This record gives sequence, C-alpha cells and structure tokens, in this order.
Amino acid sequence: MKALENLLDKVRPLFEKGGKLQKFHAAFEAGETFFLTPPWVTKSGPHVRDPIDLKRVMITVVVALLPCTLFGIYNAGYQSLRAQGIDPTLIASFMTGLPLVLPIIIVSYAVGGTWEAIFAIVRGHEINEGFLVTGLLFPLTLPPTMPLWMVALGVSFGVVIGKEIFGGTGMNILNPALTGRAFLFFAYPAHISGDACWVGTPADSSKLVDGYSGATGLLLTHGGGAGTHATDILASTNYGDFSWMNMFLGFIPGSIGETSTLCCLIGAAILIATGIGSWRVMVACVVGMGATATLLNLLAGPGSSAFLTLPAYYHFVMGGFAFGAVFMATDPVSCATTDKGKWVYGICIGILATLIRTVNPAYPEGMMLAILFMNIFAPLIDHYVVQANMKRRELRYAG
Amino acid sequence: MKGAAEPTLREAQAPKFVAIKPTDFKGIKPRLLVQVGDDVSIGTPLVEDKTDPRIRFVSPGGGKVVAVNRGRRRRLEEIVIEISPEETALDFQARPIDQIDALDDRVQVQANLLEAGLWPLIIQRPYARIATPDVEPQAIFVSAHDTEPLTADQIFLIKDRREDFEAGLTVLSKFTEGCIHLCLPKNPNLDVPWLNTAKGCCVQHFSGPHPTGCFGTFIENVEPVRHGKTAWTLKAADVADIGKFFLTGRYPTERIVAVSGESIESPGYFRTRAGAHASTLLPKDLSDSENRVISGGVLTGTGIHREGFLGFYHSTLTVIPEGGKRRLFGWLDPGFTRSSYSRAFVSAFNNNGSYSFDTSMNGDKRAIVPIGSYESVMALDIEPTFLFKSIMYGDLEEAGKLGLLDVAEEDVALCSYVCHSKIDYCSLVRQALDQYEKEG
Repeated sequence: MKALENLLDKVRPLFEKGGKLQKFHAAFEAGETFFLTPPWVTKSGPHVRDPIDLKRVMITVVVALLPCTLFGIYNAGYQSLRAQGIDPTLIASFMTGLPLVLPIIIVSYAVGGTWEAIFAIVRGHEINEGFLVTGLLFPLTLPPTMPLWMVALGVSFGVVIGKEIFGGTGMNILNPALTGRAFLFFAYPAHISGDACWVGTPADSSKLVDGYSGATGLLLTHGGGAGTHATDILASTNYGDFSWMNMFLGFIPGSIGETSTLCCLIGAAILIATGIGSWRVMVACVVGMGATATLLNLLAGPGSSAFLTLPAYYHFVMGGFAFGAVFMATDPVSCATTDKGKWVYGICIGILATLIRTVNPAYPEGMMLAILFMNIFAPLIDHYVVQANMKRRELRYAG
Repeated sequence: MKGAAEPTLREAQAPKFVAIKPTDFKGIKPRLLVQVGDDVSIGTPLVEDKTDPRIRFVSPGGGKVVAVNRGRRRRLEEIVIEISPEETALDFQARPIDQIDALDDRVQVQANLLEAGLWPLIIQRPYARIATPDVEPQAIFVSAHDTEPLTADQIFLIKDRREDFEAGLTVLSKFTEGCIHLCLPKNPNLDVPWLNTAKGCCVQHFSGPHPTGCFGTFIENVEPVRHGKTAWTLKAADVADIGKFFLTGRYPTERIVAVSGESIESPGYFRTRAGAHASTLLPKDLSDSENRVISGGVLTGTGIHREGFLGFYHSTLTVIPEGGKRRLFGWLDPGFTRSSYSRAFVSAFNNNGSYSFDTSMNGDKRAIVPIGSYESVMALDIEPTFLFKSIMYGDLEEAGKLGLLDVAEEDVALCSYVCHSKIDYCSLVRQALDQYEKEG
C-alpha cells in the first residue's frame, strides 16, 4: 500500500495544474480514489465529518441492485431455455443468461463511462460516481435481446442529453437511465415492446417449443377483449405461468432486472435500511397505484377492457412497477426534494402509471413514462412546498 | 463520541500567557489599541471596533503585551500577554445584588458592560454577531443546555455560582421588556434545583440530541424573532461572568474549561483563566501533528495548536486524532468500526454507543445529491436543501425568505457533518449572513 501511495505521489504532479497531463486530472482523481481514500482533513469547523461520501451512497445503490441483476441474468437464461424446451436448471440458466446480459451491462458501463469521462475532462469537473448507478440501472430496464449498438446509443443519449447538458450529476431534471430507455422505446419500438423481444431465442424458430409465446403478462392483459377478466386471462394462458406468486418471484419474460418483485423488495429493504433511498417515494408510489387500481376495479363494467379489472396486487408484481418505484422514482436528483413533495410525487407516479397501463390504448406499461413525467413536475411540486414553508415563516416573523 | 469530560474539577497549571483573538468576534472590524511591549492590566482595552468604538475587547491578564500575531492580509489574529507576578487590574464600581436590582438606567448598565469589555458576550440573532448597542432585544435567551458533543456542561460550570448567575440575570433584565428565556435540559446530568426557579426568567425545558441545544432551535420553538427585531443569546456561564463583574467590579478572569476528546486520557474540568494558553491544559506528551486541538466543540470550535489560546466564547478544549490516513479500497470497506449518521456502514447495525472520530473529510467534494440527510438533522422548520441552494446561486432575498436569518453556523453544523458531498455549510451560511447584513 505504501508503494502504491508513493507511485501515486510520483505521478500526481503530471496531472496537477501546470503538469503535462493536467487535462486528465479528473481521470487521475477517479483512478486514485478507486485505490485509496482521499487524504483531506477538515480545515475549519465542523472538524469531524461523517464517513459517508458519494462513493458510498452510490455503491450502496449498486449493492441494492445486485439481487435484481443476478436474478435478471438467471431469468434471461431460464426463459431462453424454456422456450427451447431444454430443462432450465440453475447452472444452465445462469450460463445461458450470462452471455445475453453481461455484454449489455459492459457496453452500458463502457460507453456511458466514456461520455462521463469526456465531459469531466472537457468541463474540468470530477468524474461523478452517479454513473455507477446509471450504468447498471439502464441495462436492467432493457430486454435481454437488445442489440448492443442500441444499448450504446441509448446510454449515450441518457448520459449526454439526460444528464451532462444540464451540468452533470446533481443538476439533471430527468432520470438519465430512463431518459435513455425512453429514447430507445420511441426510436426502436420493435426491439423494446411487443412480444418478440423479451426472451432470447435462437434464430431458427423450429427449435422453439410448441405454443411458445414471448408475451409479458401486461401484454396479455392488454390484448384481452372487452368483458373478460384480467386474472382469468392470465390464468388461462397456454404458455408460461402467470400466477401471482410466479410473477412475484419473477420467472416471467420481461426487462432484465424488473421481473422479480421479490428482488426489488430486497433492494428496497437495503435502500431503506441504509437511509439512501426514500421510503416515502416508494410507499407513495404503491399507495397511488393501489388506490387507482382499486377505483378502476370498482368502475369496471361488463363491457370494459380486461385491464380495468386487474387488481392492485397484480399491478404490483407485473411489469416494471416495483423496479421503477424502488430504483427509478427514488433517484434523489430527479425526484422531489422536500419530504411533503416526495409524497405528492410518488402518489402521482402510482396514479399515472396505472392510468397509462389501463386506460391508454397504446402502451401496456406506463411506469417509465409516469416517472419521467413526474420528474418534470418534481420542481413544481417542490416549489409549492417551499412557498408554503416561506408563508409559514412569514407569519412567524409577523406574529 | 468518545472522551466526554468527567464531572470532576481539577486545578490547571497557571498559564504564563493569555491572549485575545479578534477572529473570535463576529460582525466587527478590529482596531488595535496597544503595541508590543506595552504594560496592561486586567481590563485594559486591547482592541476596539472601528464601526462602534464603544465595543471594546479588554485584556484578560495583567502584564506585558509580548506579541501581536497577524495572519494573511495582516488580519489581526492574536494579542498575547505575558502575565507578570504582580498582576494589576482596573477597578470598576462593585455593587451588592440589591444595588444592581435597583439600577433602572439601561444606558448606565450598557455603558458598564461596554467599558468592561463584556458586551461582546452578548450575541444577537439574526446574524449571530455581537449585539448592536442601544437596540432593545425582543427577548433574551440564556442556554444551560449545550448539546454539541463533548462540550462543557453549562450546568456544571454554574452549579456553584448561583450568586453570580442571578446577578447576571438581573443585569440582563434591565435591557428588555420581554422575557429572559432560560433554556434547561429536561433531564440534566446534575440536579441544580435553584435553576428551575431562577428569578425573572421564563424557564424552558428541552430534550433530545444535538441540535436541540442550539439557539436557533430555542428561538424558533419559544419565541421566533419578529421582523426588524432582535433576540440576544448567551451561554449560562457568560451570564454568571457578567454578574460577577457587577458584584466585584473586576473583569472576571477565571474560567472552568472542559478538556475532552478521544486523545485525552482523563477528560475532565479544569479551573484556569480566560484566554489561557492551551498547552497548560494539555498533557505534555500530546503530539500536535497527530492530534487536532480545538477551542470549543468539534462542530463549531476553532482549530488551534498546542501553543494556541482558548477562545473568548469557549469553555471547552477538545482534542481528537488528526485524520488523513489513506485506506486501500475504502469504498469497499463494509465499515464495521466506522460510525456514521447514515446507515450505509455495517456499524449502524452493530452499534456499541461510543463513537470514534478523527478529522478526515472521508471523501471528495461533489455536487449536492439530496438524499434527505440535511432535512433529518435540521431542527427548524426550514427546507435546508433549498436554503443552501439559494445561497449558492446568490439569491439572498430568497434565502432570507427560506429562513437564512433564523440560522447561524451552529444550526447547520450537522448538515455539514452528514453531507456526503463534503460541502461546508457553516462558512456558506456565515458569508451569506455577513453579506445580507451589509446589503440590508
């Protein structure tokens, strides 16, 4: 360790002001602090500082994402093997899923990280750890069959347009990972929606089992005609098991990281226990969704579409709702900052996501759009909370 | 935190040198009145305020001025006095308590305090600066409830000074038609029953961890400062010093100081002098480079050296290990022994209650990523993230509406402490307050 410290000390002058490589100071700093904690001590009061730093915050989110990531890899293989009629054992599923998912994650980190570094160098700020999270969140929202060049394009859009043009981590209005996904969603809908993209299948369709369908539960419900009941449709599919428990555990087709509500809940537990993720937002999302879905269930008449009859606890385990509520809506930068604002923001996401799912004829899933939409409104919500606070203080001064 | 002072009083070695430090005083422009080599007595003015020369800062010792230390841009930092064996003191009028009580001339009392150099003990909110003379405060807040970790227990400091303290309260009562709010802990470590019935006070009880013992918290909960009004804030021991001056007619030089912190083997209270040389309070073998000596508490105190001096407002000397040791792959460390306000370290789930801290930053500066940590350590009804951001983008008018005038460094110190982006909100708030006052 001493040797490492000496080596770093020796090359540091190159990267400092006036050094030959001063432009790359951000890269040096990132590399240096990867190995060693920074040496700074406090100059004035407070003389002691909490051991937490942004690295720790972001690493904690990455740790919370690990269950979803690992299960995502496993499930990608599991679905693929099942489609081909091969026995999906644990090891085999994992080994099949790995080559499907890992390249997507690697491309996301590599391309997004490069953008991050370019901006850090050009604009002279440090490389921000926020990308550790974005770089993993983004691939988890994609189907396992996503072409890698699209992954690269999407993450570039997310990092550059979603974050860096606003000034980098901390300044962005939209969630960068979702911005990237939304871009792909509208630019290449065939690769990220419908029933063909969710399962990695061999090109030769004759290898598929009879009756194979790559549709997600939401898609099936979406396709259900008027007068049918959502849970009946799900229970009566020929291929795939869309029972509540199976969807909760996550053995269903879908985006890489979103299928297992259980893993999302493990992530939520980590985020809430460590205090990094806002429990207010998560609870509020569920409340908003639960209330809306229940209301729609009550309103659903005999001639209405199947989606209206989908109960709230099904909404909860289907699609990206849990993943979005736990990992996307809680992004501290793009969500509301005030505690009261977080409630409003979360509830609105729940309501909107359910409405887009059920009432909108175009998309069976609404979580991504609901979150992005509320990202835009978060500053407005905060504005009203802050105004109320100012008024309260004004009264106090006058009193 | 490790190293809280035991409630035992010891005699400290008598300091040979004492000093005043103009940098302790907020809201004044110091003008030096003495030169190196001058003979001074206890109570001789050393420095006055350029804006209001009635505000003066006097010598806490009698002897010879041996050094005037200046910092960058010739900023006046220390005026050091070597105490001579035959120490002299300026004598003012001594009055027994009933005479103090009979004083009804506010101007007279104010003039006495100004002349004695005790006026600077009175801090005014908003701006947390030395009070402006001639302005009647809406209320006066006296605190015997200091919650900053490792600092002296105000109740311990005044438990044997009932007369002084009550005389001090009587003096203060001359200044306002409003209340003197005496802020006490709900469950004090020491039982001092006479405090609960102190004459002429509204007694307020507070409980809970820091920052419940900050003046910002007291004021907001008891009697918020109205538009254009001010409130005065004083620590209980300072009130006792004011009382002692009126009773004896001499500048009070004695001070009880808590010497605490992880680096101190047997933390406790010491009887010494105001402005004492720090080395007389510290173990001989205490290394300056491995330890941080702080006059005051770890959150709001001033970093000094072994050879530095106790601050005007401080009754605590805290010594903690100096940090800066680099750790390999620190971001991977699960943190079994790292105590953190956040729960992002294993230690949060394995808490044995005594925390060890050093002065490491534990990270690099970053942009604000608000995860709600400031809100959870803010005792006032303020949106801290928005307040700080408004200061950062320079909109002081908005900052004022968001509660800038209701905070001082001490109220936001914990925000700096918990900040994972390592931003120093104390200096931010101080600069904003100074600028706000200048611009009116």
